[in-house]
Amino acid sequence: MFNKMFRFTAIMYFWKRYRQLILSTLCLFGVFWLVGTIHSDYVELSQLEQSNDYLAQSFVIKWLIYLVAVAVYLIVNSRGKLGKRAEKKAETKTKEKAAPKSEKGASASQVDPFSEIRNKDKLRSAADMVIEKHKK
Amino acid sequence: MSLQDRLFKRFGSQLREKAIKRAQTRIVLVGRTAADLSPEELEIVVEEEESKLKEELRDKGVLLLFALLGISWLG
Repeated sequence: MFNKMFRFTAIMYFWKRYRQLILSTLCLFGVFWLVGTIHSDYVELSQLEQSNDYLAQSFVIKWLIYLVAVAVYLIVNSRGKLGKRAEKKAETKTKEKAAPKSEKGASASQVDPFSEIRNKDKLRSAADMVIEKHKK
Repeated sequence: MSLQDRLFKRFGSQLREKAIKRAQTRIVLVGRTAADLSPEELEIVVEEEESKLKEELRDKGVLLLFALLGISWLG
C-alpha cells in the first residue's frame, strides 16, 4: 500500500512540477514522428512514380519544420522559466516598496504583527518567558 | 554560508511561515485578530504551533522510516 502511495505521490509531484515540459516534449516528438512519417511516404511515392522533382525540396522543408519545432519548444519552455523569474522579481520589488511605507507611519492595521517573529532565530515559549521574568 | 546551512535556514523559514499561518487561523477562530495580542503573546502562539508542526513531522518521519523498512504496526 505504501509503495503505491509513494509511487503515486512521486508521479503527482513530477506531473505538477514538470507538466509543461512533459507535454511540450511529447508534442515535439509527436511533430517529429508525424513529419518523418509524411516525408517517408512522400519519398516512397516519388520513388514509385520515379519523379524526383521535389525530393530535395522535401528534405529541406522537413528539416526546416524540425528546426522550427525545436525553436518553438525552446521558446515555450524558456518563457515559462523567465515568466516565473520575472514574477518573483516583481514580488520582491513590491515587498521592498511596501516595507518602507509601513515604517514611515502607515496605520497600525497595515503593519504585519508577525514581522518581528519571522526574523527571530528561536522563539520563546510561555515557560521561557516566565523564567525570564523571574530572573529579572 | 554552506549548502547545509542554507537548506536548514530555508526549511526553518518555511516552517515558521506555516506556523504563523496556523497561529493566524487559531487567533481568528477565537474571534480576535493578531493586532489585539501583544508581541509576547503572538510569540507564544507561534512557538506552540511551530513545536506542534515539528512533532507532526517527526511522527511522519518515523512512520515513513518504518514503511521503508517494511515494518507495520499490524504485523
